[in-house]
Amino acid sequence: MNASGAAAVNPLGPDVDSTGLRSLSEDSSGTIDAQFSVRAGEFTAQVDIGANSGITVLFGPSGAGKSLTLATIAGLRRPSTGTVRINDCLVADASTGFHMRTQDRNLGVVFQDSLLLPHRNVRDNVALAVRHGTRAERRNYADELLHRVGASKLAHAAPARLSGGERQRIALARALAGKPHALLLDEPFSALDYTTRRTLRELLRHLVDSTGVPTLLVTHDLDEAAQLADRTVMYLDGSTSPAVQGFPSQLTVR
Amino acid sequence: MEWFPLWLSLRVAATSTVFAAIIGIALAYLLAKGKFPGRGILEAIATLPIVLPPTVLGYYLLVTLGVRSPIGRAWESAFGHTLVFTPTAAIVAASVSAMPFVLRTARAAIEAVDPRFEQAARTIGLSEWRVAAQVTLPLARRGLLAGIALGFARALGDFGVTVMLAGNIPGRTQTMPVAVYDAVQAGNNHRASTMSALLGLIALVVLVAVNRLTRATKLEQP
Repeated sequence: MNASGAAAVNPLGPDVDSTGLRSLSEDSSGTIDAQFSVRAGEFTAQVDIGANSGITVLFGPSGAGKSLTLATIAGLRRPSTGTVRINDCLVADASTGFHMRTQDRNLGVVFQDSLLLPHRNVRDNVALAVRHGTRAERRNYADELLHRVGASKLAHAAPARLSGGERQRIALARALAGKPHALLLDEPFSALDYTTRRTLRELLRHLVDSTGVPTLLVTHDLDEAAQLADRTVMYLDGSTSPAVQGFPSQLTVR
Repeated sequence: MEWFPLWLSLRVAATSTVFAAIIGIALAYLLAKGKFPGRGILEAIATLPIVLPPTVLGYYLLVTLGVRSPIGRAWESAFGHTLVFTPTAAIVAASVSAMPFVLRTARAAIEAVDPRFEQAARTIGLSEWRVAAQVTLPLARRGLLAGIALGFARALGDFGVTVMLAGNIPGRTQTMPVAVYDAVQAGNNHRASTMSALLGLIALVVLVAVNRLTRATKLEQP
């Protein structure tokens, strides 16, 4: 869309800065431990995922329950059986009905369409997600994050003016703004063109490596899974296979 | 032409629009988002002023707020005069008849907001209050404004409820619509037609504004 803006931003962003990024995540050795089933209409997904720092790719065909998994971990849905733990802290337990509100789980979530607030500019969108500090401190931190995703120049732009790739950069900055315990990414790059997708994968790799934040990435794109996965969880017929280290091409599904 | 009815009508309509907007939008949000027993009944009661004959609505208000009612007596002991048959009563009458128009339009606008924006806002830690104030209501703002404009037009045009509750006291509670009726009764056709034309013009301007607001809302959807 905004060709000149996109061209001005180099792969990682002209000013992506890897020093000090670890401070973006409060606990760089976080864990996600999810063993539950969740229903959506007739469909039930059986999920068994243990993830720690690095990128865990949830891979499988559309309709396999991958997005449902993220929504349940994020607290947007309730599991029908089982539990979700984040950093060993119980956030959902179907047997007791315990359900920690999404707001309190402190997770960074990126959706396929960025869902930036259309009536606020880019910096406000990120600053809204900063959980602590005065207004000025939150804004400064938002500027710092925008710098780190290579989008400093876009701070005052309206989301509607941005290209799809730019929007997902901002969505990544927003997701990191709360110093989240984990990142949940639901097909974040699948609506983008090939080149932008590759660029943003590199940016994501860089952000995850430098923050250490445990990341669940939902994708049905084999390239993306191969390029980004530290671990892969395969979805087959609505059930997860045990998490396996390595690339999908090397997997055998039990 | 005597300008008091126009002045009173504008003042009453402006004040009652503020009340109708606050109550109407709050109820709209509650009905759009809340799940609680009695929701259907609350909605029916809140919408009743649209379908009730204005005189019946006015009669209910007169019984509720009149000199013999608990509210009427409390008002009289607090302010030293009755509530009914005052300009304040005209504001109450216009507020009650305008509120459902705000409510219905605002509710539709709130329900039309893509809930995924609200979910995204929860994931970044915004409390339910802030989701409402910083996400839902701003995204619904055009519909809210359209509802407020409709409410203003309705408040400006109220006749039946106002006559029942505030009466027809020239120079005190006689609003434009009531003055039109008075002028026709007195055979003063010139006065009646001037005031009618003025009211018609204001209503037309408001409706054009409402249509623009609602049409732009549809265009904005991605």
